[in-house]
Amino acid sequence: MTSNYEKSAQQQELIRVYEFSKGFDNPHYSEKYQRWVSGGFSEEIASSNRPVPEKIQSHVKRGYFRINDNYPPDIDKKDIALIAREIDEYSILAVATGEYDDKGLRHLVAYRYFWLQKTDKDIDGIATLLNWWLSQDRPCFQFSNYLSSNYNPSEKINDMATIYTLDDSRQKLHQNFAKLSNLISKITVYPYTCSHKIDEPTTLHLVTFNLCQTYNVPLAWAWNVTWLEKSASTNLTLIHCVDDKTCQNISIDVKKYLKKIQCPIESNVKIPPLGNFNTEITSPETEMTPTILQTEKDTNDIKQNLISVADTQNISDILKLLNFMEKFSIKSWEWGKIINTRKFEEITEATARYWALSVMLGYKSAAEWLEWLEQNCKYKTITFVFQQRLLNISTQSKNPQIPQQFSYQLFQSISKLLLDYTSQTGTYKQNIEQLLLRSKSIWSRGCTTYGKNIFYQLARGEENAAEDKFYQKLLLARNEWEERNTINPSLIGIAELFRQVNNYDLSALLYQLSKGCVPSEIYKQVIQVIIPLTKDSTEPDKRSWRFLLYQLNKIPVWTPIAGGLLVLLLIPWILISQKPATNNQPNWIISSSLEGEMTRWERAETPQGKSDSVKDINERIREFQLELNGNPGNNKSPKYDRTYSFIKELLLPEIKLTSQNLKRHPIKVGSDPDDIKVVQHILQTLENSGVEINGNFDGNTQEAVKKFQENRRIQAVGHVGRDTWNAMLYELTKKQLQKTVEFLRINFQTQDDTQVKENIRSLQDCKKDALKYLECVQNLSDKIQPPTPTPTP
Amino acid sequence: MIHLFSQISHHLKGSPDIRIIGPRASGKTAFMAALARYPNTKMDSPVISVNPYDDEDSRTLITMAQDILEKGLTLAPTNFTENVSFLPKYTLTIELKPKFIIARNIKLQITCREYYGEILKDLRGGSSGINLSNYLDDCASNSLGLLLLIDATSHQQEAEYAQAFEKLEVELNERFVAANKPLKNYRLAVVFSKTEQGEAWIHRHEIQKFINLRFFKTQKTLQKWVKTWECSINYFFCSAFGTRGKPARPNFKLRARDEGGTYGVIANPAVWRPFGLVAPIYWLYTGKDDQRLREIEE
Repeated sequence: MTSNYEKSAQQQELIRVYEFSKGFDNPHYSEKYQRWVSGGFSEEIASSNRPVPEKIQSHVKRGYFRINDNYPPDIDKKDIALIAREIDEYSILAVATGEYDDKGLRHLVAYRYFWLQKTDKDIDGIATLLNWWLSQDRPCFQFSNYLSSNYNPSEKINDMATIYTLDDSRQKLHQNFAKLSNLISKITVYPYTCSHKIDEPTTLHLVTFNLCQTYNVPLAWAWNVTWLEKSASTNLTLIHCVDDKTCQNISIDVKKYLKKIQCPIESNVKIPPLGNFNTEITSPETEMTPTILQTEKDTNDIKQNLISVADTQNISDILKLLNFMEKFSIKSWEWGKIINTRKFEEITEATARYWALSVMLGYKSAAEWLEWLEQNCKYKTITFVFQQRLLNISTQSKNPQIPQQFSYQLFQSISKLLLDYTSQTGTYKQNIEQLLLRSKSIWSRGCTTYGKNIFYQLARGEENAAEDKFYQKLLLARNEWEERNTINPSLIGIAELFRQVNNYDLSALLYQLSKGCVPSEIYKQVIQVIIPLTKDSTEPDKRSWRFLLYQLNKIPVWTPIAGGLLVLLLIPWILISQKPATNNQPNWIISSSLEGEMTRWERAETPQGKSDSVKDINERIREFQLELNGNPGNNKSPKYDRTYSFIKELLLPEIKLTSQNLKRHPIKVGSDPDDIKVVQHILQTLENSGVEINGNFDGNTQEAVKKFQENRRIQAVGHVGRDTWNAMLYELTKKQLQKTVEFLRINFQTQDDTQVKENIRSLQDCKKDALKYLECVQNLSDKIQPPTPTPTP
Repeated sequence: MIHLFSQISHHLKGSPDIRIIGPRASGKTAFMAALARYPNTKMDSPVISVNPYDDEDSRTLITMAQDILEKGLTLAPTNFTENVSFLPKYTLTIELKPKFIIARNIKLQITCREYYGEILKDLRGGSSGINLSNYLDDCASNSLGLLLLIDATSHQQEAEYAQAFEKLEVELNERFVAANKPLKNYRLAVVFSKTEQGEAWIHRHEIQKFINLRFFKTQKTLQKWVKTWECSINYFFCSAFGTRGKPARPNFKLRARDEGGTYGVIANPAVWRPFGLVAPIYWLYTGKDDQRLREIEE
């Protein structure tokens, strides 16, 4: 690849390049050091050969071009670092070099800025500046040029640059795409830092140019930098660092500000496999498609095209519509001129399609459309088929932005419908339910996907990128619950709605937020939990007598006779079930769990009763151990939950932190040492991380936390937030449970009655020191005497 | 809540926001970096630990201390920024041993900002082209404690310091009065850096004598300030690089010397142990002078 773009002589058009530099106070030649040195810092913008536009000044003063002075380009090697940005009609290239000051030769960074004002939208200003700079033998800052307030360059510079257009850059990109594709394919987020060998900044510009053209990311990059100031690094798309170490430093700085470079919306409304969501509901208009306002002619063409699509459904008309969508973002459409309102007044198939189209393009609201559809329900099928067809054709388009625009509008409409669903009643609510649950259309499939998307976004704690009002409501409800335990009953209908589309995770979350607890049927199905869920305790286990009473409550009052009969039938049953358990006649209601079995064992008076109970206890422990050590994804039985709660409450210690709100105050450097020690202890227990338990959140602890997070696919931030703490607690509890249950098993299998009771009491003593619990249980286990083997004859 | 380990520290209440002002190359960044790093603490030191808050600014400070100071290199001069809120803000938690064995450890959390050194020139009427007013506003509105860091070997420039501090008093006074803030709550810690240098080292036990000899004019100006404001002032010695060996020699490799002071790097990073850094911070935070923190290892 050549270092710059070649242009034929006849193609050449010229543009003037201006410059300014960073100011220094009293720069002077030091006889001692035999070089020019700075006498101190001065203004950010000095020695300009033309007044610097306000926009550029503001960016420079806000540090958008700043490299940390402690990490200048290598002064001895006369290294240069570049930072390039487009700021509206201006393009700026900052050339940074290392210099010294007069106080013991402290290093610092000096800047010379070159800029131009684009006269045409088709100019690639940065390519123009870059190639001009290369052709002028890479001019950079020199103290000697700035001795007076006026710019007085020692070198001869031709300030007229050859213009490079966007097409030139596209052509260049096309020619070199094979070489660049490897790097381009790796870039999924920005600011993207890399330390690949990139000898020429033109290469970096082409890669950024490609990203900018495809995804509308900022055309801003830095080349050959050591450590950028945060103000600069977070606003760039591509950062090329001199080596891996500097890359690592910059990566830490930009970590919080990373944005995705990918299609934000699924290209079609298919249900993606669970756990593979990487889509967000963000506006394609604002993030992806450049908004170009259409001319009068374009407006008329779109108007005619929409009517044709609705009237004829011709593939050519649909493709034409997609072309318009590609050329002009829907957001920029002037609906007043585009929509033919008379078209809505007719009642024909074409009108139905026109309505369907208007909703998909975001002109009509789904609520209005539903109202129309209710009155003209014979057109429902036509409408749904038409919408599906439109979406199918759009997904075949090479440009992913087109289906994205449809999907975005669809999700926006679904969001509004769900919001309406929380507040409306009657037919409208039923219509929404019908559309989103049972229509077998893009709406029902869209609703499923939308549910999964928002759950995924909630799980990641993402902000409301697309200003989705429903998502906003969920965020608010979640915060209300977490901060004040306030429930939001309006969400209960939505909870049920998502249960019906089998999104149990979201349904459980919504039940928790709306009711404060989750029905056990849904609770059992939950795989991913965002906030702690409470199982509905008003729904007893089906095998207990309370369940019958609970079911009885559900029987309508209007059937007194049936009710009376039921009560009559129930009385003997209740009497039987409430009869105290005897040793010979075990009570199946309480003995179905370990808790019940142990109660029975404790109460048993005869050796036979004891022996039977021990046998059952061992069976329960075996069952519990099987489930406990089984696949975490498997659904646990209600019996498991009961045993879990029983052992946890009776035998396991409680671990709490002083930090009340880990979301706001995660455990990190500077946190309460006691909390840090707890974390260090858990890391040591779970990971055998080798961290010293000293209450200092030192480098080792941070690394261990990161490793823990990486292993659990939690964002490796290096401090212990809510998610990390929950994961730690979950795993520690599991480990404690395993140890405890194993201890119980050995006891019941090998020890006599008295010894078992004594050992359980000792086990309860272990609760006192929460962090030494496992050690304590191990000591107790070691002390258990194996039964004397019966001598074989 | 579980407290399974050692005793709980007692969080002290105080004035956590501190601003550091000093001439160019007086060692402001080195002071902060050495404080944040706080290397090679002795077992009998009253300072148990200094923990920087896990934010970008503090992380950068620590990295600079490791990458630059510990490699025997010099830190870059602090640059200025048009918007003061973009200036790095370093938050540190300092844990100290109690004065009495039975008492609990003491913890204080401070937030520091150091300003660029050219500010003194601007205060004397020079113009570096920087908007000084922004910095003075920040200093007056966010802090009740000012740490004036002066190179102990820069007495030839003390007339300029006196002039700059006189102007600083006037500027801050205007802002405090306008904001209806009580002047007498203000604390001024005057800290002489590079005390490991011979000319300051010989006076390390007699700070008043040192000031009378070397920074008399500065002291006069500051006394006037204190009298006008009825606020508190205290003087301290410190060294970001410390000493090495016995008898103690400066852990310092000279690179240059002029009327503005002495400039150099750490001679032996392996034995880098700063002294006197916490004493002024503790005083600014609490208003109490802890003599243990002033002790200098011989």
